[in-house]
Amino acid sequence: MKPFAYTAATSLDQAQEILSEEWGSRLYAGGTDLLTLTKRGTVSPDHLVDIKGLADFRYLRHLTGGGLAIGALTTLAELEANRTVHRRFPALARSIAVTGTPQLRNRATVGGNLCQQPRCWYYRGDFPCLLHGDEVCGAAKGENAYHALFGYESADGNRCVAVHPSDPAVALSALEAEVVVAVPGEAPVNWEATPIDDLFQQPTKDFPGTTILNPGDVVVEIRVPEQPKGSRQVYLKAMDRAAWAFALVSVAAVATLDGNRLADLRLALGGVAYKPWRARHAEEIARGHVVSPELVDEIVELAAEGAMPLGANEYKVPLLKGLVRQALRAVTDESRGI
Amino acid sequence: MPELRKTVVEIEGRLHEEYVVVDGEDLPAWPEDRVLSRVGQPLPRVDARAKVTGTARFTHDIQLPGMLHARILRSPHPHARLRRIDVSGALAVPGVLAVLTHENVPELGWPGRPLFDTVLRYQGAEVAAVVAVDEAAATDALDKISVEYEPLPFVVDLEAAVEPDAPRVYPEGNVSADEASVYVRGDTDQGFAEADVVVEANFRTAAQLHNCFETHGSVCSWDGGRLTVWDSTQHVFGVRKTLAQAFGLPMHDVRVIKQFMGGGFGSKGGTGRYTVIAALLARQTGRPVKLLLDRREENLATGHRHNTLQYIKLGARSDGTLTAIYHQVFAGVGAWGWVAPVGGPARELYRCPNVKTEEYAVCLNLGPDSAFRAPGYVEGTVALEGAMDDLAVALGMDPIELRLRNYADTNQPRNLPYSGKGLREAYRIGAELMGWHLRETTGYLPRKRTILATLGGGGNHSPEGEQPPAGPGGVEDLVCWPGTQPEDLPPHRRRGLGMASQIWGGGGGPPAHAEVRVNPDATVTVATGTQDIGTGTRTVLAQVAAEELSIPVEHVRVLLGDTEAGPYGPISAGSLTVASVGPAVRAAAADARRQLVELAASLLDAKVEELILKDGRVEVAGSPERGIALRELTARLGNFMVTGHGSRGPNPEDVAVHTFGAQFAEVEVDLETGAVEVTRIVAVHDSGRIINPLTTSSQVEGGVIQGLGFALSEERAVDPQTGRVLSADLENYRIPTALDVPIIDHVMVPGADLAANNLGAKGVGEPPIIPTAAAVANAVYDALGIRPTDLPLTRPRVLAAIKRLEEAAQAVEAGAESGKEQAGEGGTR
Ligand SMILES: Cc1cc2nc3c(=O)[nH]c(=O)nc-3n(C[C@H](O)[C@H](O)[C@H](O)COP(=O)(O)OP(=O)(O)OC[C@H]3O[C@@H](n4cnc5c(N)ncnc54)[C@H](O)[C@@H]3O)c2cc1C
Repeated sequence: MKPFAYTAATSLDQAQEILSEEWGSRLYAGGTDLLTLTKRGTVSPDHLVDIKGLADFRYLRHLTGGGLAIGALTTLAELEANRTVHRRFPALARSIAVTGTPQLRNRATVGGNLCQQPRCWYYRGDFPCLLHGDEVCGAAKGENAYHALFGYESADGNRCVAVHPSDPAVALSALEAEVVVAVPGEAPVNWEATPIDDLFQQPTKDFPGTTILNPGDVVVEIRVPEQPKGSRQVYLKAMDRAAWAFALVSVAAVATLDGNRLADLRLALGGVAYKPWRARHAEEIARGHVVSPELVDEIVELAAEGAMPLGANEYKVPLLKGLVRQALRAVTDESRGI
Repeated sequence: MPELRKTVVEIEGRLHEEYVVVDGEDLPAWPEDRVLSRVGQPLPRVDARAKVTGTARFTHDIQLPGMLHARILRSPHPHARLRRIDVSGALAVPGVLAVLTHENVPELGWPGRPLFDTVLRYQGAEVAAVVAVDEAAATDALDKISVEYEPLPFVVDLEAAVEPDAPRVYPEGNVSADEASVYVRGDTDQGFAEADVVVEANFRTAAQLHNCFETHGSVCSWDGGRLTVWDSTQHVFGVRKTLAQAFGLPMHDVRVIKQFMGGGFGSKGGTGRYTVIAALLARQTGRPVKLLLDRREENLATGHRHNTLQYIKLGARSDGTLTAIYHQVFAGVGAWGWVAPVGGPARELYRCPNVKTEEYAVCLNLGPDSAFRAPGYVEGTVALEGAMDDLAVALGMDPIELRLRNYADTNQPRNLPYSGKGLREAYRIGAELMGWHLRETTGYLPRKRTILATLGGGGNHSPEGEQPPAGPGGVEDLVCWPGTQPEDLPPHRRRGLGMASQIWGGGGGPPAHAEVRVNPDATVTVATGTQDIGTGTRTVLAQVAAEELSIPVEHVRVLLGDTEAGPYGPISAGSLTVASVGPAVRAAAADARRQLVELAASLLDAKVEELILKDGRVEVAGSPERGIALRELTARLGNFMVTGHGSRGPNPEDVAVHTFGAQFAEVEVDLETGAVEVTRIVAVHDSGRIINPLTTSSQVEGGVIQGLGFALSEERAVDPQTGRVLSADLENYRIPTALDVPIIDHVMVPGADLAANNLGAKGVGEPPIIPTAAAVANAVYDALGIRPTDLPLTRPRVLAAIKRLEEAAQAVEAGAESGKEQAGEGGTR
């Protein structure tokens, strides 16, 4: 491991100053991702800027008009234990409960969770990878059982086919959360909130991060809006084993029912793209319709619309459909389990 | 008087005839009805406190004054020629003392392959070793070694490697028909001709990695010309022998120590190349050297259970009697290695006059394989027991009934009756506990299945010259109509029950020796050169000595894991420790007891025959007032130790000693997501007398859990483009977590195996892993109606099976519309 400098930041300004000015500096929160990447030599930062001590960004606050503001340094364990999260955002609570292990959740921050790097084994190992600066993506034609179905545009090896690993991001997407990003030099009043889906980008050779953030940009808050009355939520995650595994495919569903009519449905898919993948077409078709087996079939088919299996991940298509079906069952029929 | 005897010893499923030294006549086994008060008790481990409090020192914990740290540079290529190596950069790193490469490695009497080769046949092959004052410096220096490799064509896929035009690991080719292990009994052609029903199937199993908690490693220290090694090994005496040979030392100048073990599972049976490297670097620098492998090296270069490609064919009469078994195995051994006895179950488990097994080693550009808990039998049981369930379906017979129909009372390859075989009892107990009858009456698959469709496969695989219809494809898959399912299940879930049988050795044998020293305060020290691989050997041996001497277990201390602490003890492998070392300890304790009684006789002025030793007293039988407390007796002797010697007697010649068992699995398969959930395992095993039910249950649970990993999630992944291992960590190599463990009910078939040895006990280390995967796969077969052929049962495989099921159902529906006959008549057997 390459030696690096370490600064425990005492203010956000100080952190941002170093991060935006020093090439090779890296923001360090819980470190559960950054440290493992550094140890493996996948990234070699010169300077770690630790923001964990900035207590101002570790909070849960009710928003006026409902909803919840979550400081980016809040740990996943703190979120998981919060009653409001449990009662009003069960999909988020569930997505955290199936993230990693308790030890990990005690350490990992929600901001770091959104900004973590892909788990792609080509990226994290000594394999050809665009994000290492290589000419081709090794996964595109290799062992891609854990890779993307959507959004990568082309499997010619010029595009990263990794998926975003976060579970909470999928739930937050279905809950239509926003993230507040502090840009260096901007006064807090000017910090803008953007929809969570817009935070992510497909990593590229020149810009190998999973987010659109520039050096010095810091996610400071996540805002989860109040959900419609009577909305039902679920988060389902398919894994290779019962715990401590990333999602093969996951689904967050948020439904608002008016009698047996689906007033609103939001479906976000995890493990299938470089960001939480919203099944917008399926959502549209569902809106305003009475729940029926035919409607469910249609939503299920549309959720997989446009899927482009890479070879070894063909199974993700039926898996995704199966999970969406089970998620719909869970949010539309209280009498039956998943 | 020591004497030389010839005896048959079975290790890891293979028989060896050996000359062994035994001491005098063996004791008879404790009879079945003998009330034992220490043996048979569920005692917690004698070293539990040391382990929990961290005072137990594992190899990783060894710290010596002035100790250096070494690391190994390993080949990044699956196959390459080493063109040039320049270590000057590494030597310039502050703190680095030496670098070893093929250019400067001293000549050794090491019997293994070169420590550093110039043709590197797998990713992870040793290229150089660096020793430095700390681990960080050694690790940094690895990056500073500049190496020029000439990459060579490689093959990492088992199916590709058997093709004649595959890249070659060695110039001679990847599959050697000469070195194949072929077994023939009777005439299989005739057997198949006599059969009314023939089933055939292909199976694939994945490479399973041990991933011991404690990685491989050694600490080596020279004191003048003497070498001491703290090694993570399953065989201290084996390592001593090889190191003495390697360094040309008298054996008494090599001491090997292994006090506490963080797992071996077969991967630590030999002498590690890292051990020899550490010893060399320690000699060169004159300082102790610690060389521990990391998790990644563990996954690349320390052995694995070979992956297999298996073809099996069974012939039977309509009443279920087997007429022929043919089993062909291709095992991906890696860059070198051995084929474990994958055909063992086919040769032994069922009574069948005509059997042929062929086991081929296939070399691959991957790390060498090694033994892994019941090597071969785990893989072979998947195929045999899967095919037996196929046969049961084809015959419309209950799987247990079919197995009982072919129950073997003799070991057929050796033509000897079994010393004891509780398999029938295991079937009965297991079936009852699992509720096997439900399979017929309340909803699992009907006994007679309708065969919906047969789905064809692709090409065949066989070694050059051979033409059996082997390899995946070429065999038809059957799809069966599922029976009614239990009512409590939602329609997208299917429940299934499956079972599988287990046969294994585990009878142990000589040589194994022990010493029992009775101290002046009547406490006892048992010394033997075996080691505790983590199964609880210390505890069990203490119980045996305490039983024979009739003293509390707490008064016994067991010294082991040190070539200088006790007489020879065997490798901890093949489930043989209890059955080999246990009897030696009992014999030594009996020898000590004899001496004590003789001494008491002169003190009490009694005849030896009149005296008994019981509950810490020697007394005249019938008149307890004429007696003396053991403690008083030993105190009278001054500072003197009564020392008893004992050895394991030869194995019986007229019977074959084996362990048996059966496991039952209940699973639920989610048809929508392909999730396989094992809801319950019932494990029933016969290992003779159980010395400690608590340590036994740990073995059964551990075996089942490791078997579940093999069945459901553990799989080495290799990148086809670079030939490098993608799963070389515990994130991507998926062992089961606590949440993956189902309810495990287990029972040991009661009874001692009196012919086996003087304890009547057999091993329990390996048996419990053997049938788990087969039982799970058979349960999934029961649930889905389509037999899984490839393990582990990950989503891609299960979802593909479900897809085929749906296609078959659609085909039948389509057929039903155009006339019913086809599905009804043509499909039913
Ligand atoms: C064994 C294991 C299992 C896991 N399983 C799961 C799982 O099942 N599901 C899942 O969702 N995740 C899983 N994870 C990932 C884990 O959740 C993340 O590592 C963790 O959430 C990252 O948070 P952190 O605070 O430790 O981030 P760090 O490691 O400190 O940072 C991660 C990255 O985000 C950047 N960053 C951190 N905070 C901010 C911020 N506020 N603004 C901008 N950039 C920031 C850092 O610069 C760095 O690049 C697993 C990780 C491990 C090691």
